Amino acid sequence: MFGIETLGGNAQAAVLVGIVLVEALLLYVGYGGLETLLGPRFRRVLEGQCAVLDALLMRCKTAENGGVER
Amino acid sequence: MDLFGVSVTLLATFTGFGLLIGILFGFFGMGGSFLVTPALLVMGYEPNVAVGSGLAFVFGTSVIATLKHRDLGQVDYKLGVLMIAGTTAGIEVGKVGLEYLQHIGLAGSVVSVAYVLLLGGIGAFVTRESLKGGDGGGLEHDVDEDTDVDEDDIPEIAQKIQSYRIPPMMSLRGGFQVSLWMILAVAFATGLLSGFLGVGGGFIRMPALFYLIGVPVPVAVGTDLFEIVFSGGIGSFLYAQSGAVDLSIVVPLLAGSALGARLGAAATSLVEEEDIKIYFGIMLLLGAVAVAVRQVGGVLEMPVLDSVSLAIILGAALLVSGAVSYSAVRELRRDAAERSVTAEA
Repeated sequence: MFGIETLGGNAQAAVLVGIVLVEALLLYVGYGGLETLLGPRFRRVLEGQCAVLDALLMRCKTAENGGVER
Repeated sequence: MDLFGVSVTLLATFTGFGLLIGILFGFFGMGGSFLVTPALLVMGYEPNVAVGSGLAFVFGTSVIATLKHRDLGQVDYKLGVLMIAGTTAGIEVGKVGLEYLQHIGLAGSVVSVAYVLLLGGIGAFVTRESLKGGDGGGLEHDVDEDTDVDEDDIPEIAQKIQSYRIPPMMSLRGGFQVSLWMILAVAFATGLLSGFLGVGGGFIRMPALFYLIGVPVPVAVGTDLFEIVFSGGIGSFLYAQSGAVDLSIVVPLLAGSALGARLGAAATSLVEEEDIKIYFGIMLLLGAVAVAVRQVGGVLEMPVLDSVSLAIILGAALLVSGAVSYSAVRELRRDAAERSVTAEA
């Protein structure tokens, strides 16, 4: 996978571990951003206060008090 | 259909499995490799690939979890460094042991039997503690890590180990002292299991830090995660040298588990953990049963038992992560309903 099979021994091992580390950091940042962006709407859907379609069309308030989270 | 030369179905399967494991990891603070390696063994991967890829997955997951715990101040770096030293030696010995067993053709059997005993033993312990309804399960989330440890809160075994005052003595967070040699012995033993079984060691080491050394639970979790970053990294590097880390397994698993870990972590603030502990214990017991079934299938030459075993593993992960998710949504809706009633009043 990713064509790193041509590398040998330590170089291949270092690249493999590096790929896992970079993926972990990217996922941490990426999912963190998504959580900030979509988290309040997702929460309203789970609470049953907003339909999935409304959430997708950004028609839900993110909280009952007009947008201020608990 | 293939992506990077790997079947999309397989990638989706691993991502979904990673999501389930991530929810469990985020909720219980444990790595989840105890499910990954047996699943890979059941799916027919070579033992060294199952172990090496399991370690690489644990490494990636622990990086994400440690970043989350970093700001909470739940890491004893001195203890972490000592644990790293002992664990590194243990992993190396464990890896040599596994390679020797592979050489004589016993690796699959021995790793499977060791898993059965370990999963079964810890599963029985957690289940027993849950049924007792006590607070000795060692999995609590909400404990003030800045408070010194009350003597009554330290498990008896840890008090015994702390009483062996072989110099040099180390002062740890929580305001107590433990012999350096005791810390290194615990670290070596957990590293041995880590290298041999391909687990990051979270479900062994975190209880070991609490029950054997007496570290407060939040600090045990944070320090354990800090240490797993290094032990998982070193372990996966050692296995990757011989080409035993398969990225087509690790990459999708990590993508799923990173999302699941966020959902699981969010659920910890909603769900009463006592309600879920018993499911966790049952999941470990089912994991032990799954590996045992596969082993019996190998002895009796009945391949159908391999499928039964995989179904049990996936079912266990699905059952517990489903229970966590269901409880979290139920609590969310209850909170929302209470807020509505309060607002109307």
